[in-house]
Amino acid sequence: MTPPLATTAHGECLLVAVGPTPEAEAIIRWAHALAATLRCRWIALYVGSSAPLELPEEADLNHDLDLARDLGAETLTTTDEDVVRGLMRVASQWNVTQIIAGKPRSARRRFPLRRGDHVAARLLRQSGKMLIHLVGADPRPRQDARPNRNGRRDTPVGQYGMAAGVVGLMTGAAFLFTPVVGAHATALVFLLTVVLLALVVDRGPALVAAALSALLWDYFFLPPIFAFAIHSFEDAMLFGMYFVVVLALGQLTARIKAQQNAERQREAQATALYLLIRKLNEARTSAEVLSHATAQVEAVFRAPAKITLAHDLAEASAVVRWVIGRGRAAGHGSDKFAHLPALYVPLSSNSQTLGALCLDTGKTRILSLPERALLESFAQQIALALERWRLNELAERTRALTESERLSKTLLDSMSHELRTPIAAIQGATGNLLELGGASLSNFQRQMMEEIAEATSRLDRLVGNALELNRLEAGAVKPVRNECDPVELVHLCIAETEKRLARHRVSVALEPGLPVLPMDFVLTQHAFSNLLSNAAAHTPPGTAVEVSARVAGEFLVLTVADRGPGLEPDLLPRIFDKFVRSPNAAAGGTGLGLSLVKGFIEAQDGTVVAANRPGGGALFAISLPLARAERVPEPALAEAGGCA
Amino acid sequence: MNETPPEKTVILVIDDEAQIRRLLRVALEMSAYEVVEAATGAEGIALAVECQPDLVLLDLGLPDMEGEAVLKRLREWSQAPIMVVSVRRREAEKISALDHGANDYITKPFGTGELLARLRALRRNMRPQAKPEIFRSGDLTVDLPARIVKRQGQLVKLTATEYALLRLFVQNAGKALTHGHLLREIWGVDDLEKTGVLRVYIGYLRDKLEADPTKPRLFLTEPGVGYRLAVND
Repeated sequence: MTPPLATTAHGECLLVAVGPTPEAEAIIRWAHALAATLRCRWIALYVGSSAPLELPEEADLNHDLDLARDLGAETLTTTDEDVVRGLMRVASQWNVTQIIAGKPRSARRRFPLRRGDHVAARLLRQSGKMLIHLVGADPRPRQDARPNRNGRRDTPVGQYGMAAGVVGLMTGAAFLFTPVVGAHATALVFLLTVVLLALVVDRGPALVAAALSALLWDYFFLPPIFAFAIHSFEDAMLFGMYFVVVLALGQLTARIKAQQNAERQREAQATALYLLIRKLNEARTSAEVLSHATAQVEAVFRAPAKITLAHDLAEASAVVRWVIGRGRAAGHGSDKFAHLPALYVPLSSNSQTLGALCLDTGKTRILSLPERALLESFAQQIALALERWRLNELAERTRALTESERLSKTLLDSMSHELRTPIAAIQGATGNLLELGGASLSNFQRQMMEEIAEATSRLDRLVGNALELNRLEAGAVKPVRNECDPVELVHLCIAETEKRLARHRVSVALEPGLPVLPMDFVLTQHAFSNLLSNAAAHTPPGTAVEVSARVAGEFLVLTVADRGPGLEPDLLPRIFDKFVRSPNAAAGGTGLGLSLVKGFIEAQDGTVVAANRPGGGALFAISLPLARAERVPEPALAEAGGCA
Repeated sequence: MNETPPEKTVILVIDDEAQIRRLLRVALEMSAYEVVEAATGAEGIALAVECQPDLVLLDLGLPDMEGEAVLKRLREWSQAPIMVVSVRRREAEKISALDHGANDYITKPFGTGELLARLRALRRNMRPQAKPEIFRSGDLTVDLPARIVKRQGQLVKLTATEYALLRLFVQNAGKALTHGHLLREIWGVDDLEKTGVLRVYIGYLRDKLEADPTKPRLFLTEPGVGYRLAVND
């Protein structure tokens, strides 16, 4: 699914016009299919007028916008008395390239053809370079059994009573002054009354007042009085004009009022959102974010709210788990879990759903479209704040981890320094004596110095191995797996252990065409050299040591096989454990070498095994994965090398 | 040991361990070096300015400042060869020291003979006036001005890249060159993923110039760090 607002290579952007019509769902799905084909972002836009929607229409619209959001659209609503103007305004703001709208319906309403054609034609005329799709679609079957559609928005009966009452009072008053000022001035007084009334009451009562006042004026004050009859042409014209003017004024005033209301509502929402953001920014802990957010939602929506975070889902209800799992809204007023008396919206950041916000609206209340939009904005802001805290905490943890790694490195460095300095001093002293003062030493002295030198180098190996093992166990050994040539590795290891293996018959069998493979050269070299040194230490001089490298399946297998006494069968399972030494092993080992081999190889996802050979002797085999392996050389790069 | 430097060579030893300094002094003075000692990084830098040493032996684990900081400070004005002596064996630290201007790296504990041999190699290569125009190591002869490469007296044909790599090695003979340094100098890339190309070209040089390419005596692998051209007599 295309992430909203991600810019695509070709910069296409679709806009689908959504209205509370039965076809909207099919049009949204059509737009989604097109957006998926074009791999571009898309926007679902509802252009509302200042007149409030009927409740069922609002529910439909909510449903359609939810659907569009779930399908990956950015959903927007805007207010404009002129649908085409609203569409074009948003389209140019969002750099829309294609607009999708429903085909004009025929014969559904009384004048739909004209009005629909009108909209479509104007859209086509004004769209400039934009591509317009007019989509015909099957209307969605109305689900009239939906609950909560009893008209909360119905104008209170009291307003009609008030309208009638005020007009009646004015009629009574008019009896007093009409004889003085005349019937025509009375008309103006009625006009004023209706206009003032329209400022207070809804559109319906205002129209009733307008009609009622016109009739009452005609009946009681326009000669002939106490009759609806009109005799002179002038009076007829006056009555007609009065009727039109009072209706128009009533209508206009009501519209201004509705717009004012809408304006006030938007302002209230903006303020609420601003307050929420400020509160969230003031929070000093993530727990404060939650409490501020909950308090703010409760204050604005006047209903109990609760936030559940994704990481304590254990005791969450099924609906909360569903909301967090799917990242979609559920509960009262939505499609899923609609029987519940609360609305659940996901708190989603770019990457994931961090939690769910539950608003306990109760069974009877359903959120209006602007309220839903506000709740969505709240959810978005809360999710952002939570995400910020999550990242903060992550950074903090990473910092602590780095710090502990640094400490362990410092500790190892200082241990290494403290242990090795005296060894270096002993080795330096013996070295100076043996190499620089050689001629003046007696045979006995020379022999003793050599003993010291050998013990020192053994101690050095032990300290080195112990420190390496410490690093390995502390997780401080991080293999760097570059592409290495196993042939080079084998030859280097043999060269390194040449002196120790001088009295053995070493044979090397390298399979031709061995691939390079990603491995940590140094760790593997340590491990393999260790195996070679082991072979030298544990087998009698003159015996064979066979080294081989071959590919077996997805692995490179390096083996060292000897013809020595072999491994003790009861030691075999523990041979790679620390300080495990064969009782008859020659002096000079540390009991750590094989543990290091195992550690170094396993750190690179390899394995090492030990076995006794048929015919006597021990066999050690290292297997390293060939993943990402390729044959040498790389001609393209080799060509690029000629720049001398 | 048997070779005496033509003139008194001043060597600055920067190490916080008095015992190590004493032992180094004994070994170095017996090889006719003139030894100057410093126990801290700051003292080392001050002494380097004062004595203008021909060689520097630097321990990385100093109490007052990081060894790398000392390296950087010295490299700001001095071209004297610096040999890093450290108990730290991690390749990353060797690479870092070499990339910060150290000429060689030896880990403690070390054999006296090895240290003296490495110092001789450093001294030979780092004094331009004493540098022979023709480089010899084992049976390899490289005449840089004439661009002539010979093995056992036989002319060897190298491609442009192979020659550039060889020249870099000869100019830094005896010194460990890091993978990163070689890749930057020859291929102009700073990506260790490309180490494969370098490995291929080292293979070519070994095939053409080593007596036994599987047992290199000239182009030595410094595991995890890079390569070194050995100076054999």
